[in-house]
Amino acid sequence: MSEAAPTVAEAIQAPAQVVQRSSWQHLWYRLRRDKASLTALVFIALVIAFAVCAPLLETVTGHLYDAQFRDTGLTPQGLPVGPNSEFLLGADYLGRDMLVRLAYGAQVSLLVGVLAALIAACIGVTVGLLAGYFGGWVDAVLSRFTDFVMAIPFLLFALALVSVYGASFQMCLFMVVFFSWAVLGRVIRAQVRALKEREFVEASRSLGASTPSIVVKDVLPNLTEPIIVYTTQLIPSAIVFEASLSFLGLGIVPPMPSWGQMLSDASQNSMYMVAPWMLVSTGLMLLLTTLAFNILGDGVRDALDPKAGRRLLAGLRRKQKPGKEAAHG
Amino acid sequence: MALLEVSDIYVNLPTEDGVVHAVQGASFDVERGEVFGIVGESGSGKSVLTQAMTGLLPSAQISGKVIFDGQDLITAEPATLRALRGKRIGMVFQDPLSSLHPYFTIGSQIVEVIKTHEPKTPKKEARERAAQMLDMVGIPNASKRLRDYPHQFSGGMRQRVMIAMALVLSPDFIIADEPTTALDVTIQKQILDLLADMRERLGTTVIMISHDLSLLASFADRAMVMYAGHQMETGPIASLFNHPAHPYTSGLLRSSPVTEETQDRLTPIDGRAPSLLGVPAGCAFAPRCADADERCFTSRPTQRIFDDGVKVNCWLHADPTLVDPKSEVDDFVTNAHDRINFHTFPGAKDQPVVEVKDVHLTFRAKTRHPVHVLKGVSLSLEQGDTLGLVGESGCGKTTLARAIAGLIPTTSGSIKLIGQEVGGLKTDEWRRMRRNVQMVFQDPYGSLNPRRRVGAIIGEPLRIQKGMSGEDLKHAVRELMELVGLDPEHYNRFPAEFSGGQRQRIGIARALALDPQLLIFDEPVSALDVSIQAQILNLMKDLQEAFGYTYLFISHDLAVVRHVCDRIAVMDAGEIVETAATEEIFANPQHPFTKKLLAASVHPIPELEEPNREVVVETPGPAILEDAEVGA
Ligand code: SF4
Repeated sequence: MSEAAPTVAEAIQAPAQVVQRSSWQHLWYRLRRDKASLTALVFIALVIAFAVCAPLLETVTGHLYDAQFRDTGLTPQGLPVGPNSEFLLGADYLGRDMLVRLAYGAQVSLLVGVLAALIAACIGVTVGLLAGYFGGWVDAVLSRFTDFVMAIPFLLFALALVSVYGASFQMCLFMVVFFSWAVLGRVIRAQVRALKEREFVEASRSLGASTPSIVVKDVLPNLTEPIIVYTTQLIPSAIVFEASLSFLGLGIVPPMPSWGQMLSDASQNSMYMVAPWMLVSTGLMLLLTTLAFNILGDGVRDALDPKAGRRLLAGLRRKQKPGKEAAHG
Repeated sequence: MALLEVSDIYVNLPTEDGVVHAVQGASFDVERGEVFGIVGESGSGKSVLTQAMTGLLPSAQISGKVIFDGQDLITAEPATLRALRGKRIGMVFQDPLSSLHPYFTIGSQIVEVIKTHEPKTPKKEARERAAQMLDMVGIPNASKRLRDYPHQFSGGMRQRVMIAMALVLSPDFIIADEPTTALDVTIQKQILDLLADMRERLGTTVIMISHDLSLLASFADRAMVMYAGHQMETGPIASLFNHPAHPYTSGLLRSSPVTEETQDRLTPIDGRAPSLLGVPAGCAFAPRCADADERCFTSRPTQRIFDDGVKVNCWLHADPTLVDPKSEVDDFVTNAHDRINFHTFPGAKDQPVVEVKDVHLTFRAKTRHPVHVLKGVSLSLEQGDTLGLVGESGCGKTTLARAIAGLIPTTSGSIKLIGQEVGGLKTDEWRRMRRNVQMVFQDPYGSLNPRRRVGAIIGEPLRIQKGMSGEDLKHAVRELMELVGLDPEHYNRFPAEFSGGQRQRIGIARALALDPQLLIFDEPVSALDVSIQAQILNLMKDLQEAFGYTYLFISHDLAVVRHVCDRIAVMDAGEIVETAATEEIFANPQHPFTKKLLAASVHPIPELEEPNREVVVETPGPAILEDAEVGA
């Protein structure tokens, strides 16, 4: 208790000539030193390249994504062929090229993931800002609505919606967004409530600044960091979300391939027992992509955490020690 | 033998931006039973020094010797240090709330301290000792209060609990790091008295760290003055106060509002503290020193020890020059007067600028009892007046200021600004009224939006109120920056790139932008270092002289207010208990609360005859160590 040592950061407080870095500069400065995040970033770049190259793969292999190669892609017994020189990752139960389908699936996953995360972030930030800044009945209504959204059992809701309106890309996007923004909304609301009490907001009020101006100029710019962090973390969950919906046949409509659908194909009639590549390649892609986004999200959170400087410091110190001993020994 | 012998200690802190050279070769002894003060402004290394000594900075690189009762603390194992801390070395930190665990009763926390160091003590005995200790530090009903949680104590009481916890194992040595900085002056005094009393009764040795030289005046026997990690002057407290041999000590004394007991201008130390990332080749103080010559910049000063025990690191072999305070508003700016279109205040001569009559303010939370913050406050300010509003935390002074500035509505009573009742003003009428009232906030870090550039921050009021934009706006902002002593070239920087004093100047520039008649300063200097405080106070004075503003100055510190204000209103528990001319308050306080406040904020300084001192030895100062040599 009496040993609660003040931290180094507090102890220094040197009024040095510091240059303020923007959040993005800060982020890059710290991420650069984080090997796990860098690996994740490289992997994500590769997945993006893979998705972008989908039409190219189609041309090179000559396999359209929905073309069924019943002669070359299926064995005489009607079972899919495994990986070979023509089908690099094997074929699926209709004799379609897994590689090409995987690439198109990546397009869908990334598109839904990023698009849904961005839309959800916009909604979450707006709701959080309004609820947090205005308080009172605005807060009461918006917060109850947030609670309501979080309390809905999403599968039932998805089933009901799809049975009424039918599955489509837009419907899938809508459902992912609808169930993703609430957490961010809550986080932003809490942050705004704290920011609102800060003296610079009061200073703006005392200058006669209007409410929209305070919200946009004083509050919003100070939310950059939580917004970056939570949006990055929304992407992998949106990808998984889309995959689950598609797996259940509630998401992307065939013949457009998506990873969730492909997994569902693999599990139908226990296809994966005879054609494990259907499961392994798709499952691995989904797993690694979400993992990469999650690692990146963690890295981003750590990099933007004000306490991160200290951890970095401890790391530096650990690295220095052995070197020094070696120099003296 | 001295209890603590520190020789040539260097502390480097590796950070993301580079190595911070926090302490650069300090050496001092602390005798048994004495109170040793360490004084310095922020960034002087005073806290880092003691934390490094006691092993509380695991990431620091340290070299040098710290011999505590025959044992070197620098080379000691962490386990040994842990056993020493608490058992033989007690520590008291500035913020008692963050040092106490909120989820445990203070009784169990003190008992735990005893149990950790003396595991064989029976629980019952430990509790008894805890109760005794609390009783000793002046907590009423000690044995009952053992069951209370930290939040059930007031700030001063919590600091007492911390002291009790530090003393419960009767350590022979206590390190108190700014133990009273967060407290009101009257409580500050009680805590100092308590520490002095403990030392009398138990013979404890104390190291007291403070940013405030005058606080140590009546308390410490000897003190060390530090600046930017360097030891400047060390010696008996009376010598430091009466005959400072080092230009920095002298400057510190002359800029401190407490030690300068007149209403005259203070003498700030020019410039600002250096970055600790670099290591100066010569004296660290040279860029701000009036006596600096070429040698000071190029080689480290020697250390002279006088026969009265004073140790000085300085090239100067005479008394420090006393510089005259320069004007904070220069001629160029005074001439720029009409260029910024300063108008004379309309119809202000015949009516008070502010008239507050019988204002009440009550906060009503749904579930709790209503809190009466203001209970019938009345005051008025004439054109050009400077009124100091002084009181302890929670007395309602800030609330009153915010009510006058229209930031919170009052419950009843009337507030008139320039003859106009503000209670019934509509939103856009208030917006216009704000041209006449502006506020400067306490926290120079919190009152500027960290994400906006300084130009935009200062220009905001002009944009909102006068619809200025483009080149006009830029021009006006640059003139304002010049007016408050900022470099207009720094227009595009962010607040974080300025020091505390500069940020407060930004806050003042923003408040001045609309050329308001009334400026409300809410503790404008309490977050700043002493030498910087004086700069801001002088700036306020100069601006008022040049432009005839009316000031309402809110502060907890009578000494600060004395240098700026003509009149002082003393506030206690939501009421103004006494209003009088400044010197009147100091010479002849009427209300008991005023007397109490005054007694607590004046520290008697021990007198000393002019010494006829001789240099005993002159040695080279501490060497400059390479980064790799420190902590190796
Ligand atoms: S050494 Fe020179 S610069 Fe430093 S305090 Fe002395 S006179 Fe001033």
